[in-house]
Amino acid sequence: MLVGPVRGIAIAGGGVAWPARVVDNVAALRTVVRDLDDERVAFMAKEGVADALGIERRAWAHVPGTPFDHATEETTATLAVRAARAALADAGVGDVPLVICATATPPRMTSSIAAFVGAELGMRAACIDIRTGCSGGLVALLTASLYLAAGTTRVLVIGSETFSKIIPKASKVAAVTLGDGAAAVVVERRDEDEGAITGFMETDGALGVLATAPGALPPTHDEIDRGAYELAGEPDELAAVVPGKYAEAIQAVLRRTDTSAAEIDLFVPHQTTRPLIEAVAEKAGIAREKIFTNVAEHANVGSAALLGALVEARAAGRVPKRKRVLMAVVGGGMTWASAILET
Amino acid sequence: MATREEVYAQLRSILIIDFSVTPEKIGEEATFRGQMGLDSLDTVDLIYLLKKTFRLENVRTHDFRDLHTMRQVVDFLVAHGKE
Repeated sequence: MLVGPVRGIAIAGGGVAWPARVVDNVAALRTVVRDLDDERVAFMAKEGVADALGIERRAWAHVPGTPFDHATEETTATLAVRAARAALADAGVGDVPLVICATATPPRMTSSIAAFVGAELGMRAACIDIRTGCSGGLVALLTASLYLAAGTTRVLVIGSETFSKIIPKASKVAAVTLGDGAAAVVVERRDEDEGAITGFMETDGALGVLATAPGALPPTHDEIDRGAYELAGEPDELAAVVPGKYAEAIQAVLRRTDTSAAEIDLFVPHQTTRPLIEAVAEKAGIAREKIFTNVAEHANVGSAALLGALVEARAAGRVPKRKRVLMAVVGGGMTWASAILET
Repeated sequence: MATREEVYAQLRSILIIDFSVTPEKIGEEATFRGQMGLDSLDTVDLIYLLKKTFRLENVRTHDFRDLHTMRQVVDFLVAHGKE
């Protein structure tokens, strides 16, 4: 499905929130491999994670493999609130008519995180949650653009995750590649010539089994005991499918906007691993210096990853006026999406 | 200098003891990532153990990048190992 172009749209502010517990690669591996000697774990952390994946650290609300402490640990909702506050402050606005929050790791079986954010911020806004895996942040941004096109004045868009609570107890790869965090942007209507967004989003539900927590809700003791609420899937099959979906999404939005790869000023992809990000950019014909990545600092934070990168790129001065920012993501579901933001 | 058979036996032992690979999955053409079930970090961990066991002082992790089967790794260890 193509979205837009929606003209007269701009990002008015952005914010991010990370849990206080910052975990380096050795500490992340130690949650899975407790009995290996220090030199062996340090080798894996450097050669297998920092050098091979480009990830140095991540922040976790919860330490995988330990009991949950819901009274004190941050949740997807509390992180969303912090990012939302920061985005509203950055935009200089106190209220919005619509809040859209994306997540793959909700803190409740029912109820809306967006509604929790609205309540915490004292707003009576319309509140909607979006569940499209890691694609959620960009899908939420594109959804917001459709509301703006329909007349809504301003939308608070949030992506938030606490992957630390679904990391499988035995998976070193999941422990080092997944992080927690939230990111939010305030998007608003502007004059027709001030900015635009054009997007593409698609889903193949048959591929959802490649990355999912398969346990049925409500939880059963048996399902909990067999780890069915932890992230599972088929990582090798996932790795084989994902690059093609990125290419498909990027080509769709380039065609729609009649834009060449050379005309893209900045590429803000979903933050997964450095090799995948660079391979996607190379396949699309985008020069490496145009990539913005913060995966080294945060690892993959799901629906917050792309929005967080966009917010940090903006804060770093990488998103000035009159530029074309390409965004692309593939996530659970399986979902894939892309957008070109003209600033 | 260890024979090829001795190198194979040592690698097989590492896979069984350190990575819980069942013996029936191990063979000359068996792949580490596919048939033996190692993930990307297991393979880096395996390289660490091979560097220690076979004293591969001037070999880098990158040098193993295109080695996917038991046969390929055993041949590499025979050519480069000092044990």
